[in-house]
Amino acid sequence: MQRKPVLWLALLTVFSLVLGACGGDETVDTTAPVAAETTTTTTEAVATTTTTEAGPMIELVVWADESRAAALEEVVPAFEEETGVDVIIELVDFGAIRDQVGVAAPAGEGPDVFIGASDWVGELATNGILEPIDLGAKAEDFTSASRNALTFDGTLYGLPYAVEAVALYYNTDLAPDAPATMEDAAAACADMVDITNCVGIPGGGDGTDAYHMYPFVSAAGGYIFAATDGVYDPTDVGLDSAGAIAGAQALEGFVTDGVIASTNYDGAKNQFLEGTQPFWITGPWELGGLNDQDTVNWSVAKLPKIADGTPQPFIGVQAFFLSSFSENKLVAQTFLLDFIATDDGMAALFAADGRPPVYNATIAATADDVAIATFGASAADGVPIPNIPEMGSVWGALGDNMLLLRNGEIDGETAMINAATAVREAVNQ
Amino acid sequence: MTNNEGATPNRTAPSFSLSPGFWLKLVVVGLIDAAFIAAIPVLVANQSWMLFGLLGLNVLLINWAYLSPRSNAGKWLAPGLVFVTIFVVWPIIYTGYVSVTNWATGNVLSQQQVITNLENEVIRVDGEGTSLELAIYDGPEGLAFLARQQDGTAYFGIARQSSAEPIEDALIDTSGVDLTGDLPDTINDYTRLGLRDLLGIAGQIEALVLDVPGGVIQAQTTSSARLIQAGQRYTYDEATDTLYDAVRDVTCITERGNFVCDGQRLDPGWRVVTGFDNYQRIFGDQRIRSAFLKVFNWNIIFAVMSVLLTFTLGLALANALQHDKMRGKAFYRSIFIIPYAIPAFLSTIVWRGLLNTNFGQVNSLIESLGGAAVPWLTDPTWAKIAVLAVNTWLGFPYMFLITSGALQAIPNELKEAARVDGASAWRVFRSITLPLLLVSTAPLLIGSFAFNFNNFVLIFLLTEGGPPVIGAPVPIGETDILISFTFDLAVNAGRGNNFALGSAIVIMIFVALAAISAFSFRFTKRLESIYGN
Repeated sequence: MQRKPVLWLALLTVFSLVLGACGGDETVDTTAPVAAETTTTTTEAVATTTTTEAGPMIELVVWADESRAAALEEVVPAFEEETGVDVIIELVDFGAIRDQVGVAAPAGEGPDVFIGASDWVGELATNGILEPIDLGAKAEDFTSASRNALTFDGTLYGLPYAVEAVALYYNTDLAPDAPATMEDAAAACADMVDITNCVGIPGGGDGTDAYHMYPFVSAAGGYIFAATDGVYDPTDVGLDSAGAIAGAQALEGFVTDGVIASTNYDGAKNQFLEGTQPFWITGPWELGGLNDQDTVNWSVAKLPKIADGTPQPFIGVQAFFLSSFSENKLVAQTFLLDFIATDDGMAALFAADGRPPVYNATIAATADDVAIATFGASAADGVPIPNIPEMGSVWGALGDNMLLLRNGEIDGETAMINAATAVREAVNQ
Repeated sequence: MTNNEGATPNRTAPSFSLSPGFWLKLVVVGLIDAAFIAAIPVLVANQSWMLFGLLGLNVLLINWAYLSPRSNAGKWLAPGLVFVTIFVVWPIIYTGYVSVTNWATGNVLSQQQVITNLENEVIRVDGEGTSLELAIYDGPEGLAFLARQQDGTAYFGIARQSSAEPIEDALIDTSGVDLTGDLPDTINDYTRLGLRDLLGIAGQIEALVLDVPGGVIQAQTTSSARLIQAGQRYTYDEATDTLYDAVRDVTCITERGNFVCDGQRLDPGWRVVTGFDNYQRIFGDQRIRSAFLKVFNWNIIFAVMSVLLTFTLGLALANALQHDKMRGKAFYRSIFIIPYAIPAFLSTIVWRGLLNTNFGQVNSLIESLGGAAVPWLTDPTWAKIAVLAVNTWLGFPYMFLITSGALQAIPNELKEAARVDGASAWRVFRSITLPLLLVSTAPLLIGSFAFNFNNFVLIFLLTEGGPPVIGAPVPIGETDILISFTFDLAVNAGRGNNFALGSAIVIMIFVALAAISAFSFRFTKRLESIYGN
């Protein structure tokens, strides 16, 4: 009786060892490259020699969202044909790319190249995920604003290809001419009957939205962080500067007069689409939806002046980034600079994505498209979203106080002082 | 084996037989062992020691449970224990670990990765002429670079490994070769390499530089190059754990996961254990503490009220359906289950739309009845009412279900006896029904409290924590609960993300919840000893 458990044990041990050994071949195959990868990421020299001498097919992994992937599919075959490199496009939700790159790249599983936005640059560069990109002689082919937006601490970190900034959509049946100032817009609305709101802007109701509210901060000279030569100083917060307060007080006036109702994103959008709101401030991503509907006749104009100043909307630049953990940097840069940053590559991206371009040749080619040209012009007035990590504390603080202002809970001056105080305290941690 | 067990439950030692069940068990346990052995190299390579230990313990547990003749109960508990350790214990341990590190924006890599990253940094040369056209040639002495500046100055020479010593006379005389138009296909006995060939040896080219006056030329793409200074900018000295910066000529010391050069922190940094700093911050930092306490306060109210309201409503409905004269019970039962049957996140989004101040159906109804629009989601008090109302709507069917069952189990004789003694219906409910009901439902109420304490989905989807608190030093909302506050704090910290601080708060939520639950269970035990049968 006593021998039996021992026998049992022995049998099982033998069996599991056999299984382990059987799986052994696979085990070695799958784990060896993993171990090799982890060592090669730490010693660059070893990585490069192993890839060249073994001479396997070079793979370039690109992370893109659905619309950008479609554009890349048009450019990639030519590159693969000419170079023999295998480009693997992996679909990742745009909003998820930023966080997933941060996790996957250090683990050795990230992409070589990925799509992203300019306001990610500070965080990703600070984390050591981004590799600088040298546009070289091609720098002049891109608008300087788009390059500035991707510059962090004096270094360019991405290849720009599209720009976004808000502008004014207006209902041409209700308002045949675009208003030059907010006062003009209010005056035009005074004559209209059956409208539910005059100017619809996200950032009220129950949805904080510092991005859409920023034109009111910047119109009279307000700013978030002072910048010299593209380098931000997070200790110089300009949210309670005279200009920012003047802009907020102008907003307070429009709120009190009922020109700007406290609408969240959907509220502003739906009233415009129902034809009961003549003006709507938002970005070019709504162009597709508007082109698909036929109930409202509309056009696009630059933002009306606020408090006698030209509003500077936030510019977000869409870009290709290069991972600092890529083991094929030369290949990736060749792909980006010689195949994407070309007339054909940029045209394909614009055709598939439809966002206002930043590549001079594509800008010239699309000059006839009023909407695209207007959004481009609005972006030309704008300022880049500060791309330093400290910007993380601004979204909540500014958005919350602007929401309270639009709900009539606090006045313009209090809103800006509270927002500035919160940002300063967060930054000084 | 398993077949025999039912037949002979009282034997002292297991019989040994080669039944199919035995072989099946052997294969399954053997597969688990093999899978673990296969995972060891990966775990070791990633230095995941904690996970390694945890998985190892689990595998040992499985082997013991199905191997040892003395583990009859273990056999049945093992799967549950394995899942508890992996999905409950492990996340708690890991969160606790993160909470004592400095894991935040700027400190996400390992030190080795940071050093590699910094040592790869080149010293740039500013100004004109630093971007060059490039062609790469193969010849008798190896790979050669031809680089041409925009002003036409061209350099041609043998490239060297960037880690090797500079070559004095790397440049080769190109007199007699036309270097003005397109770069030539051959220079002397050097032939230009095509794109396909170049990318085949891309890794090799990356490591090469060409010595020219004023620096070295490094390939940027296969057709462009840049002029940089020779040598790397940062050099790490392992013996002293310091980093030398060649540009500023300073030695940077290591301090709490960053290199610090002349008192200036160098990014990126790496993850290190920094002790209880994050906990100190929650209590020591006036700014976070005041926000934390305000949110904590509402969190308790929210969780208690949610349980109370859902339980009261559920019990009232269950009680009503208990009544003998009630008709159409089946119909009402199915109606009351509906909120429970719809996924909560869906109905929460629908409620957000219904409660919209300007366009919501709820306000349309109120206005058509002659009332004024209620600022459901934008007024501090109304938002709290809205959150509780929606949560009651979402939660009462659960309470209705469990109380319906529990009410059935209460013996009618007890109630009848009380009636005979002259007790009113309310008195019977208060003194007989409710205490007996609580004996069986109290643990579920505690569970419901714990669930609502961390009901992130409801808050995040209904109000996002809003409306904002006026003048708050940390952006918090009136309906923020600790877990949504933690989310905001971790994602929108002063400088990017701060996962470590977020984890510290999560650990504190865990401790608070565990304490409250332990206390409540003790209370339940007392109930049980008084009323239990």
